[in-house]
Amino acid sequence: MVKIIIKNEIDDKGACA
Amino acid sequence: MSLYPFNLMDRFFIVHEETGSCFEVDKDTFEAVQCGVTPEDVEAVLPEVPSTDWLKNRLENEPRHFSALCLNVTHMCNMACTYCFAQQGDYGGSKGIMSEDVAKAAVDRLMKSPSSWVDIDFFGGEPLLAWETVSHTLIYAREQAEKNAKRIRFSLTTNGLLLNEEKLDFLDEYGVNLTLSIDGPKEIHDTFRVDKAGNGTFERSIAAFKEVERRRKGSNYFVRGTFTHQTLDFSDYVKFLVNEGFKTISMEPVTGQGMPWSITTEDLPKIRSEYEKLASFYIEKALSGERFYYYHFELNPINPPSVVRRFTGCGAGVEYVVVNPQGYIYPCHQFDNVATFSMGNVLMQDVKAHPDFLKAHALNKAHCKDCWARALCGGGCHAENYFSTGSIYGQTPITCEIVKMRLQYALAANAILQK
Repeated sequence: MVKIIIKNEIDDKGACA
Repeated sequence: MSLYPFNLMDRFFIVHEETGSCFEVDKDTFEAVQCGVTPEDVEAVLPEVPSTDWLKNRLENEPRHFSALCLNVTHMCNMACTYCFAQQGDYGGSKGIMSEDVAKAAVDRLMKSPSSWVDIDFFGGEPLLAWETVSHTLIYAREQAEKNAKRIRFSLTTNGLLLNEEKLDFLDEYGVNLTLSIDGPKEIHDTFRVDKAGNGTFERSIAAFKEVERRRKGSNYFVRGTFTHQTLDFSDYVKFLVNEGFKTISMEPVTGQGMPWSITTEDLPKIRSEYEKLASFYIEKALSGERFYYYHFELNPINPPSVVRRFTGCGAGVEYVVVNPQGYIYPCHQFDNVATFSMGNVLMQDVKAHPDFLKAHALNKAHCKDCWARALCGGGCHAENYFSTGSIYGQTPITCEIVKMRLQYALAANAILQK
């Protein structure tokens, strides 16, 4: 069993507004 | 390709280190990965991995646009919080309030950004001490954003002591996202958050913040607390804030080392147990239809940021800068008045990326290169690394451990709540 929790693809804010 | 397996809350997970992607798996798959085997069904779901050279080139050489401006409108504060990184608001430098000329110059520089989406944050000190500058800048910035066809968002951090009906009406009108500083129940909050006379501020702060919640009903604000070596029961502080009616919350470890309130290595097991309790409470409330938002658990799994974006971290010194009351530009609010990192003055020049910060990402940091969390963390807080080690390439091991345990609980909570 493989469940995707979060899948990031290889664009438009950074996280510390 | 590297896979990092971990089990938590009776579940099994693997993190795809190169992209920060995360998967829940069964015990057999987990044990296979632990033994260095990548089962076919895992292989089938892994995303494409950018080459290190491509990613470094993208981060360091391709255009990254300044799009988030922090206006440190005053170094003055009406409080004297013991643990304040800004040295009770004065940043070790001059007092004074940002003039409207400086604020407008900063907004004008921001409007030159190629980005169609820009942000302005008001910070201090206590920014409401500079209300005239704040309110006039909001009016000017919205006008300029409309003229330049840009989407704009505003935010402001406050201790709440000067927040009244008139100011709230104005902030509501401009959709200003409020970050509200409160550490938890009275005896915890008043341990560190005192006024200039040394009196606790809990009653004054929470009264103002409850009015914000009454108006905004869980959106467009955060209550943000700080926990310390002396106040470590932060899952209880979050529960208190939830029970007081607040819906969007963050609770952060105090920064800095060597002070009586500084987090120590010996605190880490306690902090892990607090995150476990917090994750359980977060899940319990969500499943009972009373969801609250906890900043570090909101991973946006449906529509996450790109791998490139994750490696840029917070974007300080490149996408994000602070302008101080005199107009001087620094990579972020915590670097205000650190001359080494001065980036000029908005009265005289545009905002250009700081070359050191373009390169200070996880791929260039020795301690990050093999860390399983590098794509999710982005390389840590530049300011904390600098003030702890003297280099933005440095490492703050205690913070690294906290970030990693927090990520594990965030991933587990998201897995459990995923339909």
